[in-house]
Amino acid sequence: MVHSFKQGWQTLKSIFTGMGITIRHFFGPSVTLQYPDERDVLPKLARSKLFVNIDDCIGCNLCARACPVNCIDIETVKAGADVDLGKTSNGSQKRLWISRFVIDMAKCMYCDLCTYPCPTDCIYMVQEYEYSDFNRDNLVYKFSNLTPEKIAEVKETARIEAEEAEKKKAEEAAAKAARASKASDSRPSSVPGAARGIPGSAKGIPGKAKGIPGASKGVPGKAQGIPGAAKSIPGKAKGIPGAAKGVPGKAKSIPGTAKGVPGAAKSVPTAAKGVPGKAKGVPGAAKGVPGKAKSVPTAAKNVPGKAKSIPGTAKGVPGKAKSVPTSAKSVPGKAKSVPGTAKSVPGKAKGVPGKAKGVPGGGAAKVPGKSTAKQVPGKKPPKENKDNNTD
Amino acid sequence: MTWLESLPLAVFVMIPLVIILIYALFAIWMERKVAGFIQDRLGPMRVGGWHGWAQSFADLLKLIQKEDIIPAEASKFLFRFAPFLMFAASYAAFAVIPFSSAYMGSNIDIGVFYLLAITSLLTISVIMAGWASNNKWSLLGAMRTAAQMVSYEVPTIMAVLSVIIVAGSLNLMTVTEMQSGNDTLGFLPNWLIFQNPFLLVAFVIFFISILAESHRVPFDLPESESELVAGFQTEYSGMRWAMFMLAEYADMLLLSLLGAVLFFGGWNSPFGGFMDGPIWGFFWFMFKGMILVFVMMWIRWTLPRYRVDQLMYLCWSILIPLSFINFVLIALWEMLF
Amino acid sequence: MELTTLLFYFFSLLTIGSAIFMVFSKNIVHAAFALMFTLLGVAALYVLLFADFIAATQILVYVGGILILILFGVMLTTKGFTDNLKTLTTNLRPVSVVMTLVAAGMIYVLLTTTWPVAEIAEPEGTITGLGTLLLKEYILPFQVTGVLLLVAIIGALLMATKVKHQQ
Repeated sequence: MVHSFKQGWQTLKSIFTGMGITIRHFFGPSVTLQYPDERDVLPKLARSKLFVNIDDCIGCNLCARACPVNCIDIETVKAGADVDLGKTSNGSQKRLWISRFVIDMAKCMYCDLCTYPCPTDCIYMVQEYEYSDFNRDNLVYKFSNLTPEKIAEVKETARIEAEEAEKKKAEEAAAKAARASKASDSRPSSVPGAARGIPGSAKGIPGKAKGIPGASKGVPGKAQGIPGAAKSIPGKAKGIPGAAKGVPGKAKSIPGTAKGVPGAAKSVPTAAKGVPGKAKGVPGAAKGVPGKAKSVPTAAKNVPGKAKSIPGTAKGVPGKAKSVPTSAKSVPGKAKSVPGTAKSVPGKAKGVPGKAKGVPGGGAAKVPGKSTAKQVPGKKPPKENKDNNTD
Repeated sequence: MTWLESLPLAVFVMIPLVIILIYALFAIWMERKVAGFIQDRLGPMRVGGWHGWAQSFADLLKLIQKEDIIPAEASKFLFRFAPFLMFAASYAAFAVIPFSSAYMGSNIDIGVFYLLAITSLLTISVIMAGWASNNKWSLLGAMRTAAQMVSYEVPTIMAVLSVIIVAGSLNLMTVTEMQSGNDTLGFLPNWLIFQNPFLLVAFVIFFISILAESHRVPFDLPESESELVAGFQTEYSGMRWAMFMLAEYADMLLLSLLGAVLFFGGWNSPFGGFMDGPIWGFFWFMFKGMILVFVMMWIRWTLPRYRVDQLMYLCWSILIPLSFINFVLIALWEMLF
Repeated sequence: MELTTLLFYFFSLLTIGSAIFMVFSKNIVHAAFALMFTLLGVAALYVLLFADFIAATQILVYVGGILILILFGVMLTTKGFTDNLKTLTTNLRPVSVVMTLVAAGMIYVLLTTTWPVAEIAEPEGTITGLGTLLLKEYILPFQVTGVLLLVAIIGALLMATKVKHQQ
């Protein structure tokens, strides 16, 4: 009986407590936002819609490769030698016509991974979120500002130039091959190679390896995910005077680790490269590598200006990263570098450079451009880059 | 009485209908606003301008345009008829509600008795709708309704009877009239709820019972959306469904007004002679009814639903014994004082 | 024609029509709902006779109570509300003879009786007199009926409760 009354009292009490709470909320303020009339302020880094400032785009294709869902489609055409496309706002020279730059926002998953690699910061999220549409095709945004006629024109020009270059190359290659075979018995050109990094995706950014007399171009590589198997393409790497080839290394990485940022031109992610000059303790450190190429231990994310280190990964500061190649053999005196096996032991990251291959220049010191490791395995370097590299 | 002569009568009879319709439009809007405010939302805001006041009109327009779907296996006539029977029962009960000192549909002596009798048609109509739908949920909802309403009729009637003992009349107008003026203490209105401590208990019993009678939370088992898919209304659409809603809200108002008459002085002003008169009477009466309706809504958005066995336990093991004891105590009190 | 007369015929038709429907319906639930219309029609006829208390009682007890019980019983019975009733007519000849006789007798009584017709007058307050009668002159039958119902309720409870044999 007493128990029943207690229970009854409890029930009544809890009912009135509950009703007290609800009546307080009844008179309290509401949290509703009257949406079309009022809008909330989005957080600064809100990811809503991608935008490309096409004037700043250099057509490096990094964003497209960073995209996990392949929603960015870029097509570039090499500009003729006599055409000056101008510079981007941060001073980079533009060399490519952007004939197509399409982002399919219907596919986009708003991961924001494309904005970080951009050397010129020209792709970024804008705070516009009201772009839903009844037609999926309307969600495909085109950013290229070239007219179809203009595209046809520049393509034609590029094709003619490419043909000419092809002829020239064939001749030179033949000459070099002859010389090279005489000079060395060791086949491989040694380039600090593709490091097998910590899994970590090093992103190599096509760099501009400079400092090589002549025009050494970094070739944005594609790191393909097979660890340790950096292949240099010796056959072609050789005998082209003055053209340094970056051989795309292959870093196998766990996504999210090192990023090389091109702006710095210096960080070579994952793939430890034996860069001459820096390879320490290596007798006769590979020569012929112009002094700028730096090897950044595997999982280094080197974002110029932003330098974000992902926990657990080494931050390679260009110029400071030391690669300690265990046994780097170079054959001095010869323009060939002997492929050694450089092991870079970055502090934390273990870069086990698979095989560093340098691409020997024809007697000249060459610096491998930058080996770029990419996260997405299996991608082929863009054509334009090939043109540059496979001279 | 010829046809022409019966016209004023028709108008006279239609007055509660107008009140119900206006009230239903208002109450549906109010229900949403109350729900919104209690949940820190705003409720309807966009239709009609100020706080979405025209939302109910928009909904009504929408419902009128809707297709009247009748299931192929339904019992056609009963399916069509049930919503109207339900509304008719609610509406018929308004005949004995004294809206003001000047207006009452039918001033009959058996007022409350008639009201309780005619509302039992609601149960039948719910069973009719549930069975005619030929749908398991509907039938389950209908069975629950019948069990619930039949059960809760007992404490309702006992609570009403308690008041009738004190008031001495079944005629609601008489009941209201005897509550005018101030009580012996001078500052409280002469309402029945202030006259007798046991009538307070009777009011609690009455209020819980009318919650169950009008299927309001926490006793909305007949139409619990989450388990029975709206119960007996599952197969209904368009205006037939709207008739159910109308009947439900009318029932809510009816029972709230009955509570106002029995316990809170009906159309009497709370300030004695101040703001009195037929028009003010109507205002006060509706005001009191709406307060009770508001409390019903407030409870709806506070409490969870009872389980069937808890519902029955509350009725048969608590409310009915309590109401009988209370009834005897009130009778004793009336004898002694 | 007066409104009251019209209403009278309407409700009479409703009562008789739904009663006929109830008898001939093969669906027991339909029959039960037809019974509801019959009971409502009878209640309306009571109202027309100024017997408002009886009318309300009719609705409260028959429609609100007994009919719901019937429906409950029907619906809770296995297959009771889904299958059509299997009605078959037996003893056709003796029944028709008997029923014809009964009908003839009723019609005869109806036609030969002199029905007293009273003037229509609304009585003042039906329930006061009713209450006085019930609680004064007929207090004993009234109470006995109450006790009878109480006994019935207790009996029903006893039958519905499972008795534990061990105790």
